[in-house]
Amino acid sequence: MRETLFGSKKSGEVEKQEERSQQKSGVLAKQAEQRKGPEKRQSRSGRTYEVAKIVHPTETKDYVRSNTWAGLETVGTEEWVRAKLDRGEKYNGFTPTKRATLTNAEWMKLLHHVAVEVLILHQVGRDLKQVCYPRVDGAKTWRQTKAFDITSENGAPHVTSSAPQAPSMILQAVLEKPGSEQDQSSLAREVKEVIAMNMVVNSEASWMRTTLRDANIRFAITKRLVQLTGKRIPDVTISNATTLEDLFNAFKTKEQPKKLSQTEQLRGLAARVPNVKVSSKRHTPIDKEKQVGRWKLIEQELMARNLPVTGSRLPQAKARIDN
Amino acid sequence: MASKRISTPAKHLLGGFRHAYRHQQCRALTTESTPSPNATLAQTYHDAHLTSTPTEPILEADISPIPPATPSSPSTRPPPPQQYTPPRNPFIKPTHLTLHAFPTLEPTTYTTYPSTHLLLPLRKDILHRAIIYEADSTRQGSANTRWRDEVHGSGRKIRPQKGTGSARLGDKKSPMLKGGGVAFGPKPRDFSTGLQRAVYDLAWRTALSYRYARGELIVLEGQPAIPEKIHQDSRERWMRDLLRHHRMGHADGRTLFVTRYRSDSLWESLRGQKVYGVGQRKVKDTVGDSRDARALTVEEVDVKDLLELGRVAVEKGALERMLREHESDLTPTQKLGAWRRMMGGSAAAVVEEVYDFVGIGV
Repeated sequence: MRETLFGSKKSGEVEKQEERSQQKSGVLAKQAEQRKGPEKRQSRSGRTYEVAKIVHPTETKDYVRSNTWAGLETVGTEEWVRAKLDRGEKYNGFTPTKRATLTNAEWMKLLHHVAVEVLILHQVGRDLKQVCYPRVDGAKTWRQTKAFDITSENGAPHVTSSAPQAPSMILQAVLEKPGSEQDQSSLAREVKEVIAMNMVVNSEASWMRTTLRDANIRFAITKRLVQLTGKRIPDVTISNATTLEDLFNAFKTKEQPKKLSQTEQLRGLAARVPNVKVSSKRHTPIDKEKQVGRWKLIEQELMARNLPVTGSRLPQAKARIDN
Repeated sequence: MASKRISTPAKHLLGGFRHAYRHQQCRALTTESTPSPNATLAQTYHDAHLTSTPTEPILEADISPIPPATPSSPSTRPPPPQQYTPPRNPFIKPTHLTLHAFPTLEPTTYTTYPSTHLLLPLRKDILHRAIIYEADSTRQGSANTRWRDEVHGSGRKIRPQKGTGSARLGDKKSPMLKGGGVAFGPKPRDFSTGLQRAVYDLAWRTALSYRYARGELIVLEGQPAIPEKIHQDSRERWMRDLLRHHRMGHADGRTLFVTRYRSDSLWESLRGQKVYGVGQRKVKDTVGDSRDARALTVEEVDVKDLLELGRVAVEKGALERMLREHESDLTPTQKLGAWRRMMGGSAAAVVEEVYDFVGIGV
């Protein structure tokens, strides 16, 4: 009777053994599953999906039940359905994914490099669109463009190099037909190498003042810079630009004034509108007293009476009516 | 006969027919010798030569010398009157506009437009007038109330004029009473106002110029359409990715696409969800207006739409249509078509010439 109700020692041991073996087999099964990976099935729309594991909290020791829904996948909403149906096609644009942030000196180097490439193509008579085509594998045109000099000849821009084979090397590196799609990593590498070049750049340099009256040249330089850096400039700026310096000023990072009084509009106000005074700080009552010349006396008297000179947060500072 | 007359030069018409028919072949009745007095007509006819001989006209038309007309041979005929081409306006400066491919937004080429169309100065007052005019014409004007003559009820005087001690009252529909009519409440009416077409057109081009000056006008080469290879179910997310990549989405102020014709692929990729208040049904599937962008055709767009969102991405054909439809304030030679014909040649050459004229550049 006792044995039927409470079980014998033998049966207990047998049960324990069975449990252990089951656990072992469960672990083994789990390990086998992990090795196989999750089961994959194909939905009616043709999309393959992984079948989710059914996790029993009693079986898995490391299962932790969550008290909130933070971090859990929300299943069954409209958004979830749309995300499931999405095929995942990637968008590839003309500009790089990450916009390059360059210093002004780096912009100057990049502008010089691109301007030289475009002007060489222009001099030879090739289509300026080719500057945006992929380069020949392994070509490092920045090594040649570094040594070029941009000058003006009869009002037209002209490039010259001390190395006689440099122009031909650049022309060979630039493909005449697009061929393959532009590789974003190669563009990023070109920017990185150009800005790392050891080149002395000066905003007062003569090459910056080269006039660019041909809109095709301006357009080609701008397009290549947009392709390399992702920074776009307004069309009106390209239209009004006459020199390389104008293009540089459009592309460079402008210094934002820290105070409103330092902005261009307010700096010239004193000259244009003489009855308006612009100050960088708030005009307080103390400033008004200082203007009149009364402040020195006020300060002296307050200090003589051992009273606080500035501040109104002290209990004695403000007059109160006590009832 | 008329043709003969036309071929007769003016000098002969004026100076008599002395030399007019000199070389014409005709049967002439005159002979070399004067006919004898007794010769019959038949004899004279027989003696006459078939080939014409130069004869002096009977009438000696010795008209006082009139200056002869200009030489009349075909080679020296005066040229036909040419169309008058007025001199080029030096104050209309051409400006460049970059065209982009869709969906890569690669700058492919550029075109020029005159400053009368895209470089107008900012006139906030004109823009304000145009927007108010548009808003007025958009008003439904359907607010309606019942006045005292429309409220249901009889006209019976509800209490005697005198003797009650209270104020005198007529019918129960008086606006002073609860349940009565509204005193001069709104009635359905037309709120539309007028605005001179020239002012409205100027406002339209001022709005486009404002966008252009700030670099917020992106012109697309052709009709923007999602490529076929992108699956229908992915298009909404793909469009959001495109806008985020180019900083044209919600975080950057949203974009308005303006096209000539409605493109289903673009409209459906901008599928928004308009959610109304608590307790009301969620209205789904507002096509062409999503959180990141809006799409409108050229016929649907107005000045307010052009100024509302962060930027305008307009198809070139749509931009041309807008500019040509809204240039009534310009003189015939300033209109887009006439300006282009006057400029002629390539845009680059035109720009160079203008720069030379104005004296910009070295």
